[in-house]
Amino acid sequence: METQEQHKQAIEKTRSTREVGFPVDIFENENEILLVADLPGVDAKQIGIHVDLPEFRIEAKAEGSEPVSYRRAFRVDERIDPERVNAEYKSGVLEVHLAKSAAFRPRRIEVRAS
Amino acid sequence: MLARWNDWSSLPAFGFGQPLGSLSALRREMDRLFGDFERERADGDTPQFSLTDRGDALEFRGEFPGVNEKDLEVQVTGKILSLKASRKVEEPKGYAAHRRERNAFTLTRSYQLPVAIDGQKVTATLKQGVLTLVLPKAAEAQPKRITVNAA
Repeated sequence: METQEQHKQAIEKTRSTREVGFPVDIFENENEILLVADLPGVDAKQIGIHVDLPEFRIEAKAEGSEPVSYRRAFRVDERIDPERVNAEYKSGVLEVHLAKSAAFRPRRIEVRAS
Repeated sequence: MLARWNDWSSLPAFGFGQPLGSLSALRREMDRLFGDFERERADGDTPQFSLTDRGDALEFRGEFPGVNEKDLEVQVTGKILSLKASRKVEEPKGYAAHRRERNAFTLTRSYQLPVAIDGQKVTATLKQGVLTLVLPKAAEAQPKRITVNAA
């Protein structure tokens, strides 16, 4: 008897795209969070960075004889300003700068002498 | 402050108080475990390589993100392909590190190729962190088409 579970296992993808993760480094200073990712063989246009707080997601596709689909998602807190996310891709390495909202950055308050 | 979206530690603890919550936590943890099979490359420090036979040439493809041309050395002698590559991973100044998965490496490898290569015609390109070598087969290793004659 074919159970639903067995049926599910028999379903194959129509495309042989492999879905993989990728290594990241994550740093933080008072102004931003900096994420550095190894994403070899990707066209910069094929990199999608989605900020949907509290989720932050990177998706990319590497074309070629063996297409690869990269995807990782992270939880960031509400201190990130979704409008101020910048990214740069060079030599297979992606750098994403996630700026913190002004309200959460340390401020120096000047004390006026009266 | 950044954690993987499906990190175990961020999930609610199992308990009888919230049966649905626990089930969903369990399911998500299962997803995470199975997801990690597909994510075999996430924490790997070994660059990925592939070798393809294109008929008149072999094509070698290797992933070297963040490696400069000057830190890559390729040598082909007969059937032996030798590779040297290295990269440094530097921590930016003034930042605290939350996660360090990218590794620095120094790699020296030799591969025995299935056929002899014409070393003079080898081309190497490094683009978007991917090294592609086109290794034309030596004349004696070129595929030959044999015409079948009808008797």
